[in-house]
Amino acid sequence: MKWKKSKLRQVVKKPLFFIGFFMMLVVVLAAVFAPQLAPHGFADQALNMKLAPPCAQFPLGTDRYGRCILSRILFGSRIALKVGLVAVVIETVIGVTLGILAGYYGKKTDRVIMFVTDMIWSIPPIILAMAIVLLLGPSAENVAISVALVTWAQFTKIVRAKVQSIKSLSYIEAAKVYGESDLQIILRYILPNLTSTIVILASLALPSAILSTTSMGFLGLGAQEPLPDWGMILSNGIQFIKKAPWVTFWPGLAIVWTVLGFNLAAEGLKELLDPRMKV
Amino acid sequence: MSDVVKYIIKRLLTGVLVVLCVTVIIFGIMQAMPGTPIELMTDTRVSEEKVAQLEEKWGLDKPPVVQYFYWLGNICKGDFGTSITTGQDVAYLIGQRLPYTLMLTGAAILVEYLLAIPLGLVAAVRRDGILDKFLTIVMVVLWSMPAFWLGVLFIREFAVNKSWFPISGYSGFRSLVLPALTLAFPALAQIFRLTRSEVLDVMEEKHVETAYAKGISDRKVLVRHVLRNALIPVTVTFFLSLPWLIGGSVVVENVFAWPGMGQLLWKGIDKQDFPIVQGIVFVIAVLTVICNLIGDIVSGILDPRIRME
Amino acid sequence: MEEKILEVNDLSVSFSGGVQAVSDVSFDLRRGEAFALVGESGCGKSTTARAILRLIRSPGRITGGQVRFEGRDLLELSSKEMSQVRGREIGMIFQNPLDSLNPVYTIGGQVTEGLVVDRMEKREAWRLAADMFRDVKIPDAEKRMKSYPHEISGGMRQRVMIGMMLCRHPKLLIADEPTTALDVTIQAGIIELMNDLRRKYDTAVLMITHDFGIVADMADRVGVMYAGKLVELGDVYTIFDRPLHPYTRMLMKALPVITKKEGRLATIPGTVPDLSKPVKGCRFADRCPDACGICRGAAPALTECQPGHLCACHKEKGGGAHV
Repeated sequence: MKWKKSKLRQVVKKPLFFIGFFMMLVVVLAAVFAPQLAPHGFADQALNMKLAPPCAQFPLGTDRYGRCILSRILFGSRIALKVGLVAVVIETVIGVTLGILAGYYGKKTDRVIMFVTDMIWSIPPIILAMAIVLLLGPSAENVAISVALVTWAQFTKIVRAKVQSIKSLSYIEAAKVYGESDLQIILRYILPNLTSTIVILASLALPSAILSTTSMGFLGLGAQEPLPDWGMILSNGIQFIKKAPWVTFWPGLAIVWTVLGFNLAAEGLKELLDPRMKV
Repeated sequence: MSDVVKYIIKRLLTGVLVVLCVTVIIFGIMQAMPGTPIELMTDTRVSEEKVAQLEEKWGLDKPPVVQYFYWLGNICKGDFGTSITTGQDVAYLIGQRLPYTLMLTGAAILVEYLLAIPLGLVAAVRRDGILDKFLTIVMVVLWSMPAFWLGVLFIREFAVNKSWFPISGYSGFRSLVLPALTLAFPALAQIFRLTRSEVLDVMEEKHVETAYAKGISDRKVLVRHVLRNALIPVTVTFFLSLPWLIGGSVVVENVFAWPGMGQLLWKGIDKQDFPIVQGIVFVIAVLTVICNLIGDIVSGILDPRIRME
Repeated sequence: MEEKILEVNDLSVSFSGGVQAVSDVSFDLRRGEAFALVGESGCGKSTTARAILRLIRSPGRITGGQVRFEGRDLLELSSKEMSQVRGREIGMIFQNPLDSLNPVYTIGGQVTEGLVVDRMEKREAWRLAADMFRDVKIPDAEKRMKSYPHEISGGMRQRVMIGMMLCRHPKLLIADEPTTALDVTIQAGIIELMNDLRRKYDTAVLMITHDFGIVADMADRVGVMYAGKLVELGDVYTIFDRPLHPYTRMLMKALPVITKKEGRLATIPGTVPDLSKPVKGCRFADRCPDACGICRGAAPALTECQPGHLCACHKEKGGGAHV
């Protein structure tokens, strides 16, 4: 316990981690209190105020339908966080399960899983995700699924390597001799040993998942109008880049803020749990 | 020597297998789409004979497995079908746009390698110095940056406000600059961080001390012994990350209206133009496998220990 | 008396957190002489060896003293001048021959790298290195030159290291535990080889070891280090016949006869003092069976008890307080 405390102090000393945590907190609060914070509804149109520059009524200006950019960004944080979280949960489950199976059983199981992993690895993720969304139809939920389906492979590779090293420990051998079943061994001995690895991987995967989902939104494959997807708000503003730069600027900044915050916080977490781990 | 040939052949076969599996996945997705393939692949106004002709050519009256082999056979003959929306030959469309995508990704790779590796080296040598800390922060920010927003910022600053570069499209070398930087910058962070950490790791290795003890000058040790060894994992990761770069080009091409494959793909998806989507995904899968193969070969050249295996 | 080739005067090295790894160590080497620096792991003997070649990596640094090599103070040289001393005038071989060679270059390439620095032509360097390989008894020299380090055995690699460091005929060779990582059966061969070559090329050797067996096989003179300090120094016969410092005596008793790799530390009870804080009194006092009041109060100085035999202990005559 003492060791952990000193470790914590070490991490807390790092200003970047603090900044990241603060940025993350801002986004979470914005998402939770979006209805209270937003001056307008995300779909409210002020038709006489199309592409209005920032003013008292619309602090960050309006888009081509006269919708408040600030309100859309605030409500959009809900979509970004939700889609990112769902994607990470799904990819963690798939990736960790396959990683444990490959690492624990080895041999043929391992070879098959590793082949699938390598294959997924060699298709450009965004293109595979686009194909999957094409199949399922564009929506926020389907973006989450598609991002998860193309990114689990990184979990599998690292978890597999970790399981391989845990498997050779003597107490696992002992448990086998005692006749414990594979499932028992995995749940009681292997999974607990993987906790910090999984937490680190998932926390690092979250910002990239958010980034990927905004890319999908930018390509028009995410949540559909009038829902305020950050990527989509931005892509719809590109044609007004000369006339109304605020339409593209603020959603982009919101994405960077969120992804950067989560990235820095995840780095801090990694530093705390396993600074030597290579991702 | 025969070992090397065997190794390459083995990797080549794996590559072909990967491409086959990718085509199965894509074909499966297409099959799972609502609507009959004929409806999807043709216009409603197409004549009966034309439909029959297409059915014949693509084996659409046969079960999906047979259809897959028809499709694969046609692809191998270089026949990617025709676009639903424009009726143009897909192979021709891809052939027209592939050079632009290769140009864009090639330029981005160049920028990435030329910036990330020297910066990573400098950061490692001046570890924990001001420059190191500064670069680390810059790289985290770049890493968190959506490419499309970076592109938009570049356009506004350097094409609209300063008009140093064209806003979009392709009209000579100058139009390559902004898209290539946009594609390269977010990917820069990964190679930078890897170079930095690998250089730091290699510096700890005993053989570096031997090199110093031999009287090799500091700079030569850094280049010949530290960087040279650190480049092995960096190169492998670099080639493995190429799919990401190619994927990123879809987004960047759209921001800059770059006349490459990515934009064609996006339009194909938007209009549900399946022959185009299938064709492009196939080409990209082949490209990726080739990149991975090159990566394997290059790392084999760089690291004699791999050659043995 | 023969000419001194290396004089180390009051050398001190410290690491981060103020750890004094080496404090005020002084000794010298004559031309062609073999000097052994003996002690437990962590006593600062390897750090001393590295400090001579200025191979101490940050956060460690040399905080004081002189390293005079043929009259020049190496600590005063520019880094460019220093790299001309390294390899050419002073060679060094390391403990683990597995990691000491760069895995990505051929052995021949690495051996000739130093010769090429001396502006020797590549082909000439290659020929010279092959000759050297025959000297260090590597069979199939020409073929081995084209091998990579992972393709040859550990003992062979250490022969490569020796050949690599001797092919430029340095006047001094520093050997940092050159046999520790090797099989017992191979150790003897390496020691014998080093002895042969030392005579052939008249090279002085500074041997870092924890093994009195190797000291007996090689050294002319011995320095014993404890907790960063030199505690005894003298002729190898004198030290073996009449060790003065209690630590030397215990270390020699702990001389492992059968197992050369383990059980060394366990035989001397107690622990080394924390070197991040200044130590009052003798550093060995806590583990010394004969320690008394003065030992904990004042540090004994290294003084000459007999001609050529120095010892840092209050219990010895000349130690300052013979109680």
